Formats: sequence, C-alpha cells, structure tokens
Amino acid sequence: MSATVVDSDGRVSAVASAANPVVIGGVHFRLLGSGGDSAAAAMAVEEDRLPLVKAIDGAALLVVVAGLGGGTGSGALPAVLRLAASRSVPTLVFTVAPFRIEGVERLKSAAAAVRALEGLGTVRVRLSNDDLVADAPECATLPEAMARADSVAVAALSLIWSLCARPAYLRLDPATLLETLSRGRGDAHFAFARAEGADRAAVVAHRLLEGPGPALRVHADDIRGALVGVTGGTDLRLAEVGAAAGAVSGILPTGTPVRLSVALDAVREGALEVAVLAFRDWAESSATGDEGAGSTSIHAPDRFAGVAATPIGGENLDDPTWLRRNLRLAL
Amino acid sequence: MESRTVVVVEPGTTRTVAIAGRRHKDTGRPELLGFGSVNSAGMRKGRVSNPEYVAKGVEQVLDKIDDATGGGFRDCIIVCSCGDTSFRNVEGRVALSTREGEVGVVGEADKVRAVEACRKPETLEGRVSLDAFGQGWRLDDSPETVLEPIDREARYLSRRAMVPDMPLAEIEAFEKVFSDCDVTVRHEIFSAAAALSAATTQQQREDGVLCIDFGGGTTSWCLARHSRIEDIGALPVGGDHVTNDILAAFRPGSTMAAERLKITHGHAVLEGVPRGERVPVAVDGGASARTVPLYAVAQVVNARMDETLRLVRSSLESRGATHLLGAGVVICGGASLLGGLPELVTRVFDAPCLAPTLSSGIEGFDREPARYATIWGAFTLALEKDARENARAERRTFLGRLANWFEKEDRA
Repeated sequence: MSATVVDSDGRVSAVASAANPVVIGGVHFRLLGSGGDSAAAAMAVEEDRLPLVKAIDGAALLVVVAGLGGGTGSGALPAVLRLAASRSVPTLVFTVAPFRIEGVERLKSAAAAVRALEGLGTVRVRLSNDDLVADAPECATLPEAMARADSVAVAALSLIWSLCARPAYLRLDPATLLETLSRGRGDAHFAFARAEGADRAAVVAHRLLEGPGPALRVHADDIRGALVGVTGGTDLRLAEVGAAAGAVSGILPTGTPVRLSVALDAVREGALEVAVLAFRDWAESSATGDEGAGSTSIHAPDRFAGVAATPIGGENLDDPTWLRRNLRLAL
Repeated sequence: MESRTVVVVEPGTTRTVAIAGRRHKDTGRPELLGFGSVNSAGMRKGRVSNPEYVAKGVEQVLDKIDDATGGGFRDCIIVCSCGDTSFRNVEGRVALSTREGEVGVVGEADKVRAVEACRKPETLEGRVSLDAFGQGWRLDDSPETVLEPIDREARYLSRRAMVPDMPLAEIEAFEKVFSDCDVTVRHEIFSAAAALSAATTQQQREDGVLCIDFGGGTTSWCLARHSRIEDIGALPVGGDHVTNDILAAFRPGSTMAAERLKITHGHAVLEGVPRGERVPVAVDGGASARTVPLYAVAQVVNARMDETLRLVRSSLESRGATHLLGAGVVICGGASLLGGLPELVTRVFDAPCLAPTLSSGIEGFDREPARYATIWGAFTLALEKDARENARAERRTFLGRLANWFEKEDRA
C-alpha cells in the first residue's frame, strides 16, 4: 500500500513529503494552484502524467479521495481515473463536496465534476463536508471540525487497509475486495461510526443507520449489496460484531447480499469502528478473465476474442451495453 | 510549382480506403489522381489484430490506385484512430533579435523557427507524438493569443500547439504492415482532425464545433473553436460494437446478418419506433428465416450509442470544453449514418447536430460527406504538410536563408 498526494499547489511537497507528492501543471500554474480552473488541471494531468502513471502502474486497486469544488480535484480526478482505466486498474473513488458556506460557485463546480465522473471509476462514493461534520458540536473550533471531516476519509482508507492487512477472523483478502467492488460497480453510499464504552455497539448501530453524518437508512431502498467492515481491539466481542452486521442487514431488502469482514487492530483498543460500503448496483457475475481486474466480463463475444479488452469505468465496453445495463429487451 | 503525388491510406476496421493526388500546378487546388476502397479484415478497435489480413487489404487498395498514379510510389501517409489517443499542450519560444532581449519584428522565418521549437516535446515512454496542431501565437509574456503575428513587434515569439500522441506499439504495427507491402509510412494523421478539416466550415470552426468520427472500430473526436483545435480524444468503441451487441441479442446467425440488421433497421432513439412491429433477419444467402421486434433492435442500438456519446461528453466535461460548442456537433464516419443518431447527439450534448459538408469538387465524395470527409480531409492536410515541408527545405538552402535575411532587414 502506498499513498500519493496530487496537487497543483507546490506547497504540497512540504506538507505531504511522506506521501509521494506529485505537483501537476508546474509550468503552467507556477506551483501556485489551479486558480479554480478545472480544465487546466485536467490538462495538467495529461502533461505531467509520468509520475502518476508510475504510481498507478502495477496497483491492484487505486483508492482515490478528492475534494471537489476547486480546480484541481474537479479537473484532475476524471483524468486520473481515465489513466487508471487505461491500465486496467480498478478504482474506489471518494469525492467530497464543499461546505455549503463555501458558496454557490464552488457547489456548482462540484456538481459539474460529479457529472463528469459518469462512466468513470469502478465504485464511486459521494460525501459532503457538511455531512462529515454533522456530529460536531456547535462549539467545535474550525480545526476540530476539519479534523472530524478528515477522519471519515481516513476511516475509509484505514478500513480497507485494516481489513486486508490486520489479523482477522473474517479477513477480507484483496481478491475478495476486488471481486466485491466489481460486483458493486457504480455509485455507492458510505457510512462510518465509532464509539467507545459499554454501549458502543448500540451507539455505532444507531449512527450507521440514522446519522448524524452519512447514514444508511435514507438510502436503504436503493442498496443492492454491502460490504461491512468491523474493527476493534482485543476486547471486541462477538455479540458486538453481530449487532453491527445485523443492524445493517436489518434495514436492507430481504436477500440483499452483505459481506462481513472483521479485523483486530491494536490502535483501536477499547473502541468499535464500523464502516459500510453500500452498493446501488450488484452484478450477478464478477470480474473474470484477463481483461483486467477492474472490468466485469459478462459476455465474451467472438468479435473481440483475442484482442485486448476495453476496460473503462470498471466495465469492459466490449460486452454488450444492453447486457451490462440489465436492459429488458422488448422481445 | 507542381507538387509531388501524395498517397493517403486509411486502414479502417470495416473498410480500407486510399487516395492519391497532388496540388494542381495552376490552381493550387487538390487534384485527385486515384481512389480505392476495399473491405477490411484483421483490424479490431482501430488496431492491427491480424497483420497478414490487414496487409492484404492494403495491397489490394494500393493496387487500385497504382494504375492511376503510374505506380512507383514508395511512401504514404496513414490515417489512424487509435482508441488510446491523448494530447499535450506545448509552447515553442524564439527570440526575435540576434541580441538577447532586443525588440524585433516578426517575419515568416521566425514563425518557422517557433514551430520547430515546439514540434518535439519530450516523448512519453511507449508513445509516439503526431504532428502538432497550432493553437495560435504569443508575443513576449502576453496572455493573449494572436492568430497572425507577422509584422508585430516583440522580444520573443511563442508558438502554442497541441501534440497528440498514440501508443508506439500500435503505430509500429501499422508501419510493419506497410513495410511488408514495400511502402514506408511518412507520418500519421489523427482521423478526427482530418474529418474536422473537411466536414466543417471555417465559420463553424470559428464559432466552436465538435466533429465526431464514428468509425467501425473507434469513435474519435476533435473540437475546434476560434479556428484552433481545443480538444481531441478517441474511444476504442465503434460501429463494430453495435453489430456485436445485435449479434449477442438476436443471434442472427452471422456477423454479416447482424451488420445488415443494424444498417437496415438500427435506430439510435426509441421515440417513434413502433412497439409491435417485427423485422426479418436476413440470414446469409438472403432468405428471411425469422423475425425480431424492431423496438428491441432500437433498444440495443440506443443503449450502445447513448453510452458512447455520454463517454465523449464526459471527456469534454472533464476538460471544461462543453461550453465551446457554439455551432454544434458534426457527425461523420460510417456509423454516423445510423437512423436517429442526430436526435440522440442533440439530446446528449444539448447542442444542434449539424450535417457534415464536403467541398472536394468530386461529385461522389460531396454526395456522401459522412463517408468520405475523413479520407479527403487527411488528403488535404497531407498536401498542406507537403507544401510546408517544401517551403522549409527551400529556406534551408543558401539562397533561402539569404531571402529570409532580406525579408527581415526589409521589415526592420
């Protein structure tokens, strides 16, 4: 697992020196940032794509977290996802919309950026800063609120890391994770809750379903599959795992597949953390063959046999569109 | 001066076409000497999948134009539409005076030097840079781009250009095929740029127009505004995918039968397609063995074309280019002839879909601009490049350099 921070602002090199900073558009932007110009940021990725290609090539999964509303996140994200797709690297994308107080212009820019992601990324999760700090007390300072927003993004990343890498009773091996993302391709919801103390399981279950923050109950009807990750310390109890998984399964339509993974992590001693990735689509079949782990092969037409597949946005475009869209033909 | 004969070949997924011609010695207009078109084999999604089959098609089509040109040509220009086409923006800067920092007057030779300075960016590993598209000129550090800098005073002249690039392996595969046919590839032309130059008017390119070339194996596009190219791209998805989708949905018995069903009954929008009507599936040999619902055929075609167009739109949106479509969208290429496609294009891009125009002076071409815009556009672009190279070669001679010096002194 490695991290890369991409920005058009040269200061990223100083603040993220440990995370392989990549400054894009250095010549054009003079390291001062994109100035809100998303088109220029997209071009900057094209111009400076060598370090990005280096970071992406060979990865089994690319997890991307991007803040929308400005120029770099909105413009560079689609270009980065296209780079990943061209190399058959599946992507799990978290986009974070700006706070409402940031103004209409930035909100509109974020909405346009979301539209531009159509067809890109294997699984896409939309979050907003307002939701992420929904449980912050009114007296929270600005740094505290921002830290709380960041913690959810960190939770998303550490969930995957912990579930794959830490000692686990139900370990999520990378192949299963990729297969799950392949089945749940498209848009997904994300919910995260953390609690400590004797009633931590009940608190976590309530927060996952009702909020504050990104919650699942309002989306329950359009969830077709879910990945539930539970992490805690050595004091994690079986009943608590059951309570968390049961709470999620309980609100979903009967028969909705829920995949559970449980890992122990020393840094979470005394706490219970549960993160849920709830998919709005769930394919009957998953990625197979040599066309790249990020694409889903539904049908292998002879017309394209023997040539490289066309993986874009986690799908193999050589497969018939009507099949991939589960279109019911008027036969 | 009469230009030499130029041969352009477009090894497409469905058909391979070739054109030979030159610039007329009196009028300077493009003059057609020969044209050939044969069915293709061995190409998938714009790439060479079976070199032997592709070579056979190239040989056949070159045979067709061999007589017209008197034979003997040993090189050609090829039209490519690789699904993995990207681009980079570059800038070439030259001083206008021999004394650093001194003001000079822009002359033709300065323009040539600036073009040469930006022609070769650092080549990305595994990719080949194609000819650059000029995007205007810049004087000193002014943010303003000018279309014609001649006679302007400045210290430096910069040429802005967009450089398309394609995978080296794919270009080498084409070069190998042509080499097996004893023909050298001089350079490659991106298909959508060729289509744009022939199928759109100067006014449309000024107002902002997107030209989409729907080929058999790829869909490529080129967006121009203020007479310069602003965006290009390509997807390895084309009319072949529609045929394949039909094949998977209705099992008509062969690819040819699916192709016929697509051409005869395919429709890209569902509105107006009667739900109860069934159409015959013409199997190989011509007999209609069974029927399929017309509406279902339209569903299959609509799903594929809608997806393809939305991917194009999504690419433009990611570069912030959708607002540049002042004139609208022009569609060409064989797959653009699908019924209902203009309506679907209008819906997806929220912009008018315009019919391609072609003014080649050749009746057969001008009657079917969607089919012939790309090859004719590539031919005219190749002639222009040939003329530029001739002029550059002349400038490199002693007398040429002398003339440039006089020109410069005269302006100063």
